[in-house]
This record gives sequence, C-alpha cells and structure tokens, in this order.
Amino acid sequence: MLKKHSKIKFFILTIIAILGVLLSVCSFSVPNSQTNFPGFLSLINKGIELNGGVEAVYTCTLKEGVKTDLDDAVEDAAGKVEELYTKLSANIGYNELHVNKLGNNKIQVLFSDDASVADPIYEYTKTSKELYMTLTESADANRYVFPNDVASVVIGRDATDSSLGINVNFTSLGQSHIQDLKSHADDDATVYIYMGSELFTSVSVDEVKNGMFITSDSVTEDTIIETCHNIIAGSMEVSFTDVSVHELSPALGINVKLYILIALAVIICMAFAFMYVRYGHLGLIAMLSMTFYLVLFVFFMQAIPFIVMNLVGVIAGVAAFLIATAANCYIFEKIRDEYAIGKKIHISCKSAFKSALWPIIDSHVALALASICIWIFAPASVKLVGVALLVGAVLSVFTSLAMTRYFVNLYLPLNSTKPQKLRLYRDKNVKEIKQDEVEIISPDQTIAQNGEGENE
Amino acid sequence: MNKKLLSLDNKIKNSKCQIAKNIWYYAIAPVVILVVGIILLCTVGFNGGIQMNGGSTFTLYVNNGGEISAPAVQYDIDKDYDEICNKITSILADGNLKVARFQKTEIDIEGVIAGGDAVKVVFLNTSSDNKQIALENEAITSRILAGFGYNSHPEAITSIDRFEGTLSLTWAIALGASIIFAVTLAFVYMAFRTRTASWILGLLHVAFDIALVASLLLICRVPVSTAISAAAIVTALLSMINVFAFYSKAKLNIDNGIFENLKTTKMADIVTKEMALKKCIVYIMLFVIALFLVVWPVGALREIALGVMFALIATFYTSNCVLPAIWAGSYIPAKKKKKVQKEA
Repeated sequence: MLKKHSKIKFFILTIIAILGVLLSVCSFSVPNSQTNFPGFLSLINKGIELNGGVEAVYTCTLKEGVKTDLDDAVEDAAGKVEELYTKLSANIGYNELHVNKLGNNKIQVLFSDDASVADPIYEYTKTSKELYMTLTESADANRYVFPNDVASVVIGRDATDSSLGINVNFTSLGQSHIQDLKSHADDDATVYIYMGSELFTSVSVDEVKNGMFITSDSVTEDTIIETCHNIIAGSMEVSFTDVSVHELSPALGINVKLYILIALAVIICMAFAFMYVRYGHLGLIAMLSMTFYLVLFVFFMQAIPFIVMNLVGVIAGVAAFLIATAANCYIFEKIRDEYAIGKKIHISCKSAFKSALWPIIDSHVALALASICIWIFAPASVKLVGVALLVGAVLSVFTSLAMTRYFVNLYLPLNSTKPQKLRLYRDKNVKEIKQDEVEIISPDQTIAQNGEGENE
Repeated sequence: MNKKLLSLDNKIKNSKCQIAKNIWYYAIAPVVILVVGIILLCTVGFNGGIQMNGGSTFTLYVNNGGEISAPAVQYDIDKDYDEICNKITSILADGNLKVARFQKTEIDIEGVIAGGDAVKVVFLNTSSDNKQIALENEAITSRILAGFGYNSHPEAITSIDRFEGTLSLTWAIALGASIIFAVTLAFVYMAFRTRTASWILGLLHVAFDIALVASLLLICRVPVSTAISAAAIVTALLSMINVFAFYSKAKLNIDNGIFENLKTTKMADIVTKEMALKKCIVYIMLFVIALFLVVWPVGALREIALGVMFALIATFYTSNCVLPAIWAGSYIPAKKKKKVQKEA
C-alpha cells in the first residue's frame, strides 16, 4: 500500500515538474482570451547583450557664441542626455541605458525596448529654454549666470507655501558665477531669471545659491516636467543637427540566446548524468528536486522586476545551479559514508540529513551574505551576480533540505533493501549495525521500515 | 568502477607525501606566477578588450534590395550574414585590426534608401594615438568601399567613429572591494558559528587565489571585459567553498578523535588526502563544463570560460598544496582537553 502511495506521489510530482518546465519554456495562448503566455524564460528582462535594443545617434554642433571646445561640450552634453533619458524613462522603465561619446561630435545612446523616447529628446533640444540671470529687467542685459552653469534640475515644492517649482543645481563654474553676481549686486538687489527671452521669475539676491528654488505663475502640474526638460536641454552647449534611431540585434550575436540555451541544457544534462552515474536512484531523486529548483529559479528571475539578464547573470545562474547540485551531492555523500560504516539504508538517510543540515545552512547563509554584499557594493554591470546567487542560495537550501529530503522519504518504501540501486557500498570488513534499529522513532522511518517489509 | 575508485582513494590516503611540511616547495610555482603577474601589471598591464580600451565603430549598408547597382554586390542579410561578416573581418584583418562584434541594424542613405539593412561593426584599433587611428580608419573606409563595390556610393558606409572604453580603474576597485567585503562577511559569519579565529587566514587564502587568477589572466593575455568579473567571483566562490570544506572536515576529524597526539602538519595532510579524490571528481566535472564553454561559439562566453578554467586550476592547486599549510599554521589545539588531562 505504501509502495503504491509512493508511486502515485512520485507520478504526481513528476507531472508537476513537467508542467513547471513547460510553463518555463513553452509559449501558448491563454484559453478564452487573446493573451499569449510566452513562458517564464521569455519573460525574464534581457539586456542589450542578449536581446538587442535601440541605438540613437545625435550629431552635435556648437551653439552660436559658445567658445568651449567641441569635445568638452559633447562630453558635457552626453551627461545631460543621459539625465534626460533617465527622467523620460521613469514612466517607460528601461532595462538598460548606455550613453557614449562617439567620435568628436556624436552622442550614442544605447537602450532597450522603446525607441519612442529618442525623438522627444531631439524635440526638447529644438524647444530648449536657456536659463540665465541678470541684475536688470531686460533679456539683453549683462548675464551673470549662464545656461551651461546648470548641472541638474529637480521638481520640488516651496518650504513655506508648498507651491510647485524647480530646484536648480549648478556646476562648480556656475557657483563661482553666482559669487560673481553677488559681488556685483547690492544687498537688497533683485535677480531676474530668464528662460529664453521671457522673464521666468525674479528673486532676491540672497535666494540665489546652489539648489535654489524657482517658480512662477506659468508653472503648473502639466507643464513642470516639460519645463525641467527644456532647461536641461537648454543648458547644453551643443545643438543637435541630426538624430538617427535604429534597432540593433543582440550585442553577443544574432543567435546568442539559442546558443546559450543549448549550452545551459548541456550543462544541466551533464550534471544530471553525473548524479545518476554516481548516486543511481538518489541521482534520479536529485534530478526531480533540481528540476523544481530550476523552475523556481526561472520564475523568480522573471518575477523580480529590476533584474536585467546579461551574460554575467547567466554565468551566475549556472554557478547557483552548480551550488545547488553540490548541496545535493553533499547529502548523498553523507548517505554513502553512513551506509559504508554499517548502517541500514533508511538510518543512513536519516543520519545523513541530520549531519548535513548545519553545514548546508552555514555555507548557504555565508553565500547569501556574500551575495548581498556583491549586490550592494559591486559595479552596476555585476550587481546581477549578487541577486542571482542570493536567489540561488535560498532556493538551494529549500530544495536540498526540504524537497530532496521529502523525495528520499517517499522513495524509501519503494526500495530500502537494494543498496546497489543507490550506489551504496559497505566498507571492507564492516557488518550491518543491528542496534540502530531500536532508534527508529520518527514516522518517516516507520514508513520506511514498513516499506522494507513489503519489499521483502 | 567503484572498486577502482576506492582503491585509488586508499592509495592517496596511504601515500607518504608530506604537503604541509613542504609548503615552501609547493609555494614556488604560485609565487613565481604572482611575481610575473606583478611585473606584467606594472609594465604592460592587462590585455584590455573593447570595454577597457575602447575602439571604433561604423555601419555598412548591405545591398539587400539591389538599390546600389553593379559592381556593388547584392546580399541578403538573413542568408548571407556570415559571408558579410567574414568579408568585413578579412578586410579589417589586412590592416591587423580585430573585430569585436557585429550587429544587424538599419541605415538611411539620402536619395537611395531609408531604413535599409545594415551591419554595425565594432573593432579594436591597433594604436591608441588619435592621429594614427584617424589614418587607420580612413584606410579602412576606402578598402571596405572597394571590397563591397560601393565606390560610387561612399555614403553606404557611415563615418568610422572612435569611442572610449567604459571600464575604468574605479570599476575594477569597486569590483575588487565588493568581492573582498563579501568574502570577509562570509568568513565573519563562519567565525561566529564555529568560534575559530583561523577563518581570517581563510580570507588570506581567498585573496591569494584571486591574485593568482589575475596573474594567470595577465600572463595568458586574456582580454579583460565585464565578463571577466564573473571569473573573479567564481574564483572567490570556489576558494571559499574549499576553505569551508577543509575547515569543516578538519573539525569533524578533531571531534571524532582521529587527530589525537598528531602534529598539525600531519593532521592537515590527512584531511587533504581524505578530500583529494572527491575534489578531483568535482574539479574534473567543472573543468569539462568550462572546456565545453570554451569551444562553444559565443565569444564572450569563451572569455568567461577561460577565466573560470584558470580559477579551477589555481584553486585546485592552492586548496591542495597551500591551504593545508595555512590551516596547520593557524590551528591551536583546544585548551579544554589540557584542562581535562590536568584534572585527571
């Protein structure tokens, strides 16, 4: 009866594992809807390396009257373009964004997913508003603070009346220009802030400082974001004469995803084959357990929103898989050791799980701590390794100590008398320890014993 | 098979090889590698790839619909992609230039085509001098135009633009620091759990392994990219696991009373020999996986796999030949036993 129960449970678990694999790999249309489910594996956010993306190249020329070197101006503009993309992408949510200076007059922006943001940025540079400050109310008056003195702008609210406005941060050169303005102004002087040729607002000279708050009647909830973008675009010393936006195939090659999938499948098969050859039926149990591990790992990788898979992430995933495999192998080696010194199969299993508990927990906690450290401190391109190893460590503990244990307990009623099927061997001159039988107290082992009886 | 393994295991266990005692002989090889690595780091530095040194890029129109008439060759980008890439590679190779990657993209040629199929090429320049690069890139443009028969349409290729590398010293320091923090945190946890101060020496061992792998990368001139960070992390992981395994096995033997009245060097040798065969099996398995990835047709994967192979070689050697001596040097027998003996 117990054998039958075990067989039924294994059958159900195998079906669940197969369904998990199918959900991870296959795409299908959801019945009675027009939704297509692409599979967990396809749902993982992938970066430019694996999925390709969009390239926008902006050709720059110096604005009229700007005396800076083109190289420096383009480099400064690249930083501001990155800021604009980051601000604009707040709603879209890029997976990845790289801004590089190309040649001496181009800015290359590589990003994933949505190309629609490239053109608005080009438009902002056309409608840009140059922010500057004068001490007399005239757009043509002597300027003290210049458009390119603006480092960044942030939407903010006034501390006193909570009115909507903009906090303006200045470059170090801008801050020295502010000092220059103050030295030319009286104590109660008014500073006029212009955007383009229009007066935006006026403030007292004391209020002019780095991070200053400016607002005007024209600023509303609808226009504030656009105003910010226009100020950033206006602070660039270059104007864009041309923009070309094109899609790009994956950086690692057109068929990189297929090649990596095949490589992963081969590595998984190699690990499974090794476990079967060395541990026999225990290896099969580990395969079932590791299948659940893989399905859960893929599920979490697609469920965690900030994960953007790249090649380093794939390698971290493989490392996490091998660590989980090692945890299972560690338990099975313990079973072999226990059996070798004369214990029965089910007692060996119990002792092995008991003795492997703390070493596995300790090593995985240490790994999780290390992963968190990598996640926090590592450079952006490597942070994914920390996340993947952390998820892998948590799942590895669960699968090796809970799932594998449950599967082994399910298996024992099916076979607890044929050690060769589990690749278990006694040491030389070792006889079976009989007195251990009286120590069997847990229900699991009672089941195991009954199962053994049935086998006999 | 199992009997053969068992007899091999027994042979290793019964061998008279003294590892911890002869540490200075075993340390010669890694120390030489480290010294060569330091000299190379100070003189020629790492073999920087495209991410470290930067490179140049251009986009070339592929005459998919035959918009450019003969003698321009007509290609189908989907069918002839490999042929196009090989042709560009050979043209660049004539000037000793190495292609880093190809990507499918689109190009607009005024009066000819909008959004036409194109290939984006990224390659490494031979020189770091901007004037030299400009001359080099000019020569390439004319060679590619001639090679593809686009002489009448020079706009079929975009200007070749230089870009700077994105990997900096700050990046390397951030990576190194994060690995050191991570390993330190892991060892502090283990030190609390096992109350063993010698875990600090384990940290030293991990640092030694990372330095050794970095030296091997320097000596073998493996291109350095973000992908190589995976190799550094794998090295730290392997090294940490080796230290954990060695220390826990030694602790188990001490608890079981196997090490009664033995010298620490002898104890370390016993632990090493007990673990040798299992470690060999695991390392062979991992080495086969790494070797498989080296021959797999994904260039970046090959770089990582090479780094991992170095990590495997270095950690296998140090865990068997250096770690036992570190453990033996740091192990202090428990005082409780002495007290018990005195009381007796």
